[in-house]
Amino acid sequence: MPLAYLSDYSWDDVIPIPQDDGGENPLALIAYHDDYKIATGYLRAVMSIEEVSDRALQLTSDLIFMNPAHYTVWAYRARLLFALKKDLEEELIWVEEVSRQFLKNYQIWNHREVIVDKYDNPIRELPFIEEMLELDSKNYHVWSYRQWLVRRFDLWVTELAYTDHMIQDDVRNNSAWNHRFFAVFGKGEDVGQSVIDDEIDYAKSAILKAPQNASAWNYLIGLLKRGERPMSDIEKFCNDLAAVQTTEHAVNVDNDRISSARALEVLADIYNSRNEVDKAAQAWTLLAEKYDPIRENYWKFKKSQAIQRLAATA
Amino acid sequence: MFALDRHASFFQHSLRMLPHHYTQTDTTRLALVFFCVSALDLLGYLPVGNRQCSSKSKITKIDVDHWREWVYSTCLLPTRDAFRCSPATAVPQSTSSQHNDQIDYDVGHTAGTYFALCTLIILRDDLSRLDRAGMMRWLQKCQRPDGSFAAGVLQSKNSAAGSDDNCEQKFGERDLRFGYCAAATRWLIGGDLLARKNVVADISIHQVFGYIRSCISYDGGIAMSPYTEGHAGGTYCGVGTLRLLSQGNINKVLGDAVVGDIIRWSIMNQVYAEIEQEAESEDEYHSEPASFSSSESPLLRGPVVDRPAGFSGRSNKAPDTCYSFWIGGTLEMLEIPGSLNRGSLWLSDIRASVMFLLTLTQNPIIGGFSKIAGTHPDILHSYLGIAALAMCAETIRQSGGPEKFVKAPAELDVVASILPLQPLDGALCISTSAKQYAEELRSKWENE
Repeated sequence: MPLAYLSDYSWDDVIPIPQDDGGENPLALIAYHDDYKIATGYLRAVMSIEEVSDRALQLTSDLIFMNPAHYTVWAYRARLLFALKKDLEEELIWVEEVSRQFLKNYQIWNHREVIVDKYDNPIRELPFIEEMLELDSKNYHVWSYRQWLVRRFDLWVTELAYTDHMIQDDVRNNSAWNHRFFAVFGKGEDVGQSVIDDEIDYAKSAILKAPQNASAWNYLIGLLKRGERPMSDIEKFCNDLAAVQTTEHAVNVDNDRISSARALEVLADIYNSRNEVDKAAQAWTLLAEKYDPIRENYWKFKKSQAIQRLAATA
Repeated sequence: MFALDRHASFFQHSLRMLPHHYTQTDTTRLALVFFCVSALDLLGYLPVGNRQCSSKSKITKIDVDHWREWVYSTCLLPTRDAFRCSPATAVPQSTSSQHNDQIDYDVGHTAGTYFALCTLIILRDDLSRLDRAGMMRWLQKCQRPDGSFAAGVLQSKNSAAGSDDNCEQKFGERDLRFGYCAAATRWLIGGDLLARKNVVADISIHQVFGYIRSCISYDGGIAMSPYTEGHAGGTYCGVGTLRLLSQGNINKVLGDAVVGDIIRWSIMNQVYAEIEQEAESEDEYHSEPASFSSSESPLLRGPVVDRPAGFSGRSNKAPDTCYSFWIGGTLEMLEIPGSLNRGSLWLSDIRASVMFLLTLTQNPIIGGFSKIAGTHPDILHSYLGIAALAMCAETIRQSGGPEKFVKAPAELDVVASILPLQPLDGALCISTSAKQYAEELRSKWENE
């Protein structure tokens, strides 16, 4: 079946321009399908004079379905849409079709941003983003686009609830946690200590659900830093999760009850910040030898760094 | 075992002809060419420089000359100040025009320019055909006020002729990738030297630094743009940009604490091939923590067996071949103040990382590496797998040899099999011998 740009329009007046692959023995030559070869021949012809026409627009549609990463086609298409004063909602509907087919593409979302900015109406956006996140809940392009949208149309109010919904769905969805951080702090205003308290509680309860979950831990530590709170605020929390009991110089971990290596890491940092280097060293040794051996070199490095610093100050 | 010759054959085939499913990479063909050429360099198959070339290589100096000419003839713009990213985006100049503000779609691309320059440097070209000052002016046009870079600039044919520049329009996504390409381009053409001699103005370095700082995520990684998620690709691009623009002094720009956070985040992304997740129950989510302390902790019961472990690109994601490079390259570039070791890649588990690539994603039959185990190899993952192994090989050489990196005698041959790989420069992602050649060009320009 011929592509729409060929079946719906006449191209008799256009001389296709073949691709110059650099003579004999071209490098990384791609065995294009004939459809693609013919379409790009017409594309070069209309682009060289920047033809503004419906047939050129249709050609970009057909080409994008063959190669959605073709960045100059997208640029040309945007110019055509505006010059021909096309219905931008129709364009958004068309882009949705492309998005569903090519989940990992960069250009689609950049184009959507250009169109929605001009359209100046976010009505289709949140439902469509949700549909896309149902297909891939960690799609980087989609989450980035959502951030742009929230800023552009001042849509902050619903975001915290949305991240909660996504986190309940999958507590290890780092993209959702990141979006939560954006929802809380992204506006750039002072959020107040009570908001930070609430978020700390939120992160803690998520950690209790899955104590090894790096996303919730990163969020918790990120909050403490952002709120300029000392790490020792969560010492007791960490003691419970790492099943740690300490004496003046010793760290004892109950091997049957420890559930989080990160808790032990945070404790080591807390000890180290209090210059209790021997305790920190024991915690790092336990991580290296027992609880996180893949990072043995790193934990040993942390330990030797702290010991060196102590020696230098002594 | 590292299937060196199979990989060499994979890249030589790819350099000639690719199956049609590569059509989606049609407009970035120079990236594919760079991956193939640089891989062959790391595998010791290129007859360039003073190095002994593999006796099995049939690549001749005539081939090398042809490849160099091909890059120029298909991708350099007539203005000689930028490269396209593929012959596919070339649009012939037309004399007839339909309207006044007609856009010239035959544009330079920052990534294309970076890939072209790296390829030419590997092939020992002297870059004398370029308008290097013009390239610096083009890079300035690509830079946005926030410090980030666009992929390129579209302009009307009138303004290209110099009458006005009202119709300039930057294109491409707003993230850290193009800034990295711009920083590498500036270094490779000696743009900093031209700026120092007042031949041409420099890009705004402080704006670049500010933008990268604004992309540092609360988790310690660097995001593709401010407030988006910490990502190994963004982290590599951010750190690489800083490395290339700060004469290697990243710690001075970011501070030791932030560098420490990035190292930690990178190291934490080394994960076992099968992610083992603790059981969680949805309905426990809002339950009281009291029940927790008595719960089981199966993950932390005893030492984990010596399984392969690659790198993931974000927290809680599965490992993938390319992140062995994005994270490995990041660590290779980040120095630890006061440490005698180069970089910080040695902090990772090199053995587990090599085993991940060699036993899980390498295709020892047709050559190449796939993204994840059990899928077809592709050029990007194949190159980045080899680049990652080249850095591991250098760490092994510098830290006392393969014996120190194995846990069983049977592994010795496997780990040692990567040692013939040429050393790689993490910041530019080319062999250190190619980088040395670029340095020679730079000192020649400096003394001109």
